[in-house]
Amino acid sequence: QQPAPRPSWVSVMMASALEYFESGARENVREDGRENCMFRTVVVERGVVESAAGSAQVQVGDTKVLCGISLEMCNPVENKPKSGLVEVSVDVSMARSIAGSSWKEYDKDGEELANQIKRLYVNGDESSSEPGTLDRDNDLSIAEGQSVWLLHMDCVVVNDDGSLLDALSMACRASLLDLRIPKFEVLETSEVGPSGPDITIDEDPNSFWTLDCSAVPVIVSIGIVERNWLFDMSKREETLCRNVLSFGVASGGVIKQVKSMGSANVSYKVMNNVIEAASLAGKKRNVL
Amino acid sequence: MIGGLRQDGRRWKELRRLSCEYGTVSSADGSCTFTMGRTKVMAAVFGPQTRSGSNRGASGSHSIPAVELKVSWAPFATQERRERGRTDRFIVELENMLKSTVESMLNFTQSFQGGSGGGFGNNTVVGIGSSQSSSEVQVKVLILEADGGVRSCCFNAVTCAAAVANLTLGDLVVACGCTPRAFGKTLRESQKTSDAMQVGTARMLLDPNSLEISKFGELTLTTTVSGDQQVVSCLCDSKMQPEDLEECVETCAQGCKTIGNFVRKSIMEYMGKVASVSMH
Repeated sequence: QQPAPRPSWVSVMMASALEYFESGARENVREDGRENCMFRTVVVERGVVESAAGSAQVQVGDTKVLCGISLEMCNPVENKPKSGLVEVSVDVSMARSIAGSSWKEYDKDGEELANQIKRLYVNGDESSSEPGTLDRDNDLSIAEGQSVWLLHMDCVVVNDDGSLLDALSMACRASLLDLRIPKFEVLETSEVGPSGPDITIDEDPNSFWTLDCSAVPVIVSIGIVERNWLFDMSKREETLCRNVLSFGVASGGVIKQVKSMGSANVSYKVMNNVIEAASLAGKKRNVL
Repeated sequence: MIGGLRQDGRRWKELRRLSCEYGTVSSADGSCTFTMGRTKVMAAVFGPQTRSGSNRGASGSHSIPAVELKVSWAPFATQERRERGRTDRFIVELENMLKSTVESMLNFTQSFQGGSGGGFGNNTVVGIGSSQSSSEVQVKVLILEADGGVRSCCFNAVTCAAAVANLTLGDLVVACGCTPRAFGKTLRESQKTSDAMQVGTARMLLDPNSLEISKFGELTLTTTVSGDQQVVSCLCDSKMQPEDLEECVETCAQGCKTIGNFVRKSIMEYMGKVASVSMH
């Protein structure tokens, strides 16, 4: 089968890099010697930031990402009185070069990444009353209808060498596993004052809840080159790859979401294989 | 202060535990994570590279690289989450101070001579119409944990990162903080008693943590590390007595000396592992 014709944006220099990359993918040999289906070593460290309620640092090859979670109490959303809230932010300024005052570009970059991660936890459809992945048993509610936990997940990208979404999702998951929610007592009174029921938070650092993270998905990004698919791409590979699919996969291999970025068409048969591959990879990753 | 010890067990002139880890940002030429007690700052230095973007007003002349610096404050750095945007006053001020410090370090033929204590009088080696300025050094600073002494920690981190990035530096710059009022005295008391200072009980605390800063304020002193310790900058946000200034600066300078020794030692240790080092 002939390779798809190259789009016009490929300059002459890029053309040889592209050729190198694509032929490598066909031969199952990548730039750093890995096979198409091999992942880089992943190092996960929990509890790296003392001031945060939960934190983790994930290193995938050279990509390094930090995540810190802070807790806040707030009013719940109207149609989900028992569900907690999740806010995600991603700061990429450390990993991008400063070019004039184009802060807006990385703000946008960061926002896009943050939105993708947020979708793992919160259903995109706001009007649905289905709980998010952290809320199966209403873990995050304090006083129904009055007060719920708001989780602020702040991620910082320290170094970007590809697979950012994967690393970010793993860091978020690891910090959720590390998270300590303080125990609280709600004063039961028949009258509820205007500011809500009285809630006392237990100050003892040794008494806390941990979240049940079994339903938390992790992102697996796969690059597609003709009929081959590559896991865990480095930065250079990402710029040369024309199709990238990111899957949110929960433990048990269930695929939650798919995002596709690409300019070439992918054949249907390949897609099926890719989906299966993502599911297997996700299963493995969720064990971490 | 009970029995001459502070809440965390230190004496008035004791610094917090210092540590510096290098190579934390692998794509940078030089990077480090500097920790002072519970304050942790990560700095990464890239450069010199060819300048990106258009020539934005000459801030570097022919042979000296221009400096681009950005500070980010992680929202989880403080006990209570707080987002500090790009226009936050603290950040803008810190960026300017760090930027001029790095520029002075790179521009060593001029800067550290005859500089009066207040600031950088001769930092301006501005090339007029310097379209020849072709190189630029990028510095990124990330504040991971903030428990007092954030400014000092930033300066120290940037110095260490710049040193291991193999940039030609004139001198290293370190910083230290100190409370501008003697412990145990409110401003009014300091105004009343002048000579009747009880030695041993009323003291200025060196390297205060955030709790101590919230009570007494902080003065940050930046000095060079060379034998002839010169003051690069001095910044204090709170009110203080003019008589106390001298003592405060002296205390800080002592702290800076200790930090300077630590920084030197840790840089030599790291460079000894990755390169061959000769002492001058």
